[in-house]
Amino acid sequence: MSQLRKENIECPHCHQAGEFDLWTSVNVDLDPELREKIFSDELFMFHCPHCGKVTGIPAGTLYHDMTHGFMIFFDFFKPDDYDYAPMDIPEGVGLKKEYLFRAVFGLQRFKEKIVILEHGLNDVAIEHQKYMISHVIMPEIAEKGYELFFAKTDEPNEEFPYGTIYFFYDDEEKEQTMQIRFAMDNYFEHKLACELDPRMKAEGCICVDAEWMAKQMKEE
Amino acid sequence: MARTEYDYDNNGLARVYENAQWFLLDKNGNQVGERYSYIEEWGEGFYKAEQGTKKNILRPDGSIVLKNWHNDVFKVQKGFFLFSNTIRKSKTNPKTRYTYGVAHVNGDVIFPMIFDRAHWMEKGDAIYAEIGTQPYIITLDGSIYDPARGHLPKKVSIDYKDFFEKFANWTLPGLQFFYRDTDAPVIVDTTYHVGDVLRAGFFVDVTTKLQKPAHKTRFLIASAHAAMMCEIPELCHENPNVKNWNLCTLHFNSYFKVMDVYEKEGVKQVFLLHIPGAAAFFLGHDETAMNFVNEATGQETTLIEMARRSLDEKMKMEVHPRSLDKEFVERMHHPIGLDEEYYPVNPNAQEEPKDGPIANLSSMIHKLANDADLKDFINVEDNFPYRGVSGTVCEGCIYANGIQGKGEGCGRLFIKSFRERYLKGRCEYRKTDIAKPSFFEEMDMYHKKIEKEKVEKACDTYALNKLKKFVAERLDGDIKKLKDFDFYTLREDTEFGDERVSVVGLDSILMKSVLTLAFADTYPDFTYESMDKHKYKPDTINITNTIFGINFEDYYKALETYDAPAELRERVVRFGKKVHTIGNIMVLPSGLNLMRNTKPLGRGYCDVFLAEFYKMMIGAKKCNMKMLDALNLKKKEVAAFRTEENFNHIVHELMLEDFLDEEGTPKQVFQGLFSWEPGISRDTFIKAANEFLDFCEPFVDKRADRIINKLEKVLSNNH
Repeated sequence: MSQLRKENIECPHCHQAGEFDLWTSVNVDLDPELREKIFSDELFMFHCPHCGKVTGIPAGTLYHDMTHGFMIFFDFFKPDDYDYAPMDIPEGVGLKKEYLFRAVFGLQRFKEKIVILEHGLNDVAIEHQKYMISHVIMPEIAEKGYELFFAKTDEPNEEFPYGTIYFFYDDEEKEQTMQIRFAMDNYFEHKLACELDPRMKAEGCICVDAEWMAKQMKEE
Repeated sequence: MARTEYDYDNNGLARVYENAQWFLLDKNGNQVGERYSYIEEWGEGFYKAEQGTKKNILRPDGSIVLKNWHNDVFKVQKGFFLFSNTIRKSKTNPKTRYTYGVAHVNGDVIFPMIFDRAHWMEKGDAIYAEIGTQPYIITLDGSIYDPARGHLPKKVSIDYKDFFEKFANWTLPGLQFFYRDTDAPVIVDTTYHVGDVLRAGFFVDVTTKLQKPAHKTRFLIASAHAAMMCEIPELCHENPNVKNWNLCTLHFNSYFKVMDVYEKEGVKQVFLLHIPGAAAFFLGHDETAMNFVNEATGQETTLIEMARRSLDEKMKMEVHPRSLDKEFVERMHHPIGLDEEYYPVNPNAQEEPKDGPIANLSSMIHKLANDADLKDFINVEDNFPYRGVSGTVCEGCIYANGIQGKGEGCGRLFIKSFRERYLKGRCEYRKTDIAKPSFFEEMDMYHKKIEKEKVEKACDTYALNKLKKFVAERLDGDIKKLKDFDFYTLREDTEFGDERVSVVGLDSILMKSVLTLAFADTYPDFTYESMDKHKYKPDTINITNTIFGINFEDYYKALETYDAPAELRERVVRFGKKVHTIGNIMVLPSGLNLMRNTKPLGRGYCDVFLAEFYKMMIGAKKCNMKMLDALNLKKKEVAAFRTEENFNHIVHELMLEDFLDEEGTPKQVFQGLFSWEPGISRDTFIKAANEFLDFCEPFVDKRADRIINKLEKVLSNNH
């Protein structure tokens, strides 16, 4: 179940205290509206009851999706000394053995991870595919320091019998969001790569993100 | 100081060799990067750098691409390169195998060394790789695919024609009406909608006959799969009401389509059609299918019309007594498809118990009702890219006629083996003519031959057959001609030398055969096979290099150095042709054979060797313990082997008695002169050389005669 804690927050604008709903745990099956609040950023917004101004509160949460069988330990900021070691999962947290546990840092990546897992996709394969796109196929993406994100998949059609997969990145030079489309076959090829490559085993609650993938790709 | 500068390349760098090291030099004369044992241009402006036996890729800025160095790195193509190591086959198998990985010049290891084979495809647009026997294609976008398309999800489809036929055959034959009346507080209009599909949710008791309803709701069920409890004598005997009520039961995982809701004089009749579970999910809303069943009554009326007419007619009848039976009414009370709180039950089939009374009842109902769900109507599409025989390895193969479906095997192979070879374009079973063996058959024959030979080699049969054949074919049937036969002439002989590789004369099949038979009882476990396994090795007794220097054909270096007289030269050349004849060959444990060229063992002088061997065998205080190690015996075998008796036995079996004195201990025979050592006078050399030949010439002749006599006896005893 979702867990709510009432926190007193001092508004940085009017410096008056107000109550903030701090969700330490979000169960989107029981409280589907909380998922929408994450995607609208509302879950992390403090509305000052006195001056009416809105302030972002970078509070982490545990995201639980029973339908798709995953839990995400989300925080806004990655610790400086983060070593990508698997996080200990307290016993009894996972309801089923096949539950997937992930740690995610950063709101954009959090939303992306939710969408990836809701699509039933393998997040390691997606990171692998993103890495290869931004480092091998279109190395200018990585060179310019842009980050590629998963966007969506499309249903199969005559041209793409396994469907299509979309990614996007913000091109700061062009001030545009650029979208990249691949045949879904390519995703399955990266999925196979991850199945064959022992470095791609992401067991336990680990953070599978661009930096993790970069670290793994240097391993021999 | 040796320094070689090569031309500047397209990077504006020159490779420089200086002091046995290589480095890159820019046009300003500055060294770029480190120095290595070798540097070579290695494609697309990159270099291969070697550090000892290990290799890496070097960028034009002098930086190294991979963190670790490997046994090999292959040329850079389109930014990618293969790298490989040689590793043991397994912890217990010391033989080696290669393992390959793929990397990018940006330093990313695209795949670690997980491949057993890897090479660039002909067009250079992908890398072919294998793990075990499974082929893969590595693409230049850093992904990989299975050419059999096994990595793609299998598409499923329903053969609706077949499915509909199965559905009709399940639903219609034996269809009859069953009744269940209730006064349960259910609002029929909002709960049962025509077209809905629902699951029973509990064991539904029904009866084959009721008349005018005594309750406000009637469930009329058309089913061909009710368990007819009332027809089972044991059940009726156990509970007479089963017979009295004409009781039948439907399983809790039964599915129904709501066909009609009909009201007559305040009674609402819900008409349900019992359908298989698969149809509930795949045909539940297919009105065509349902209309077909509705109209397939065999009469000019529909099921719905029959159901309505049934209620119309029953309303005119009396209430059947069982409708007033309290116990019966209670059993019929709960509305179909609703849970205890009157909510619709979960449409997904409920897990069925495996143990206990409920499991028994469930199993019995299934059995009586014969209501197993429809099967085999979902087709899983085979992704395998079978494109026929033409242009493939199967073209022209006699087994191609047996290829089934989309490559589900051929006349020789099952599906997995067939597909792997079809994709690889290599098949060892390929056979274009029934009379011509396939590669597999050739290898099979070869291995069988090797196995047979192995058995024969262990029991002298192989050696006997080879020697007999050689004498018959090459010596005109006269074994005495073996005496002067130079075994070095067998170097390229595929029958008596070696059928696969060019061998040094002493390792030839013929030499090993002769030694096997001539010295059979010399050592423990000495057989032809033991020589194949390199436990024992043939060896020259009197070696000429030590005293006469290195030689080529009739040239001996020491004879030139000491300006030997013509007579001595002729003698040496003559003896040189006897060095590799049977009289000058013995067999030694491999370790001792290797040690003979060392100074402590006389660098080939057999008298020194035997003296040291003797000391070791009798356990003398100052014996050469390395000889003991070289025997490679197990600890418990050493004590039994190290005896004077065994020494004598070995020397006599090898026919080396001329190296022993009258008391049977080794004596000095030669001066032990090393021709390359300084300070040797011409006279000393000539004296030593003549003494050497004085001993060796008669020794070799005499010993050859003894060996031939022994071989003759062996051959005559084994006709």
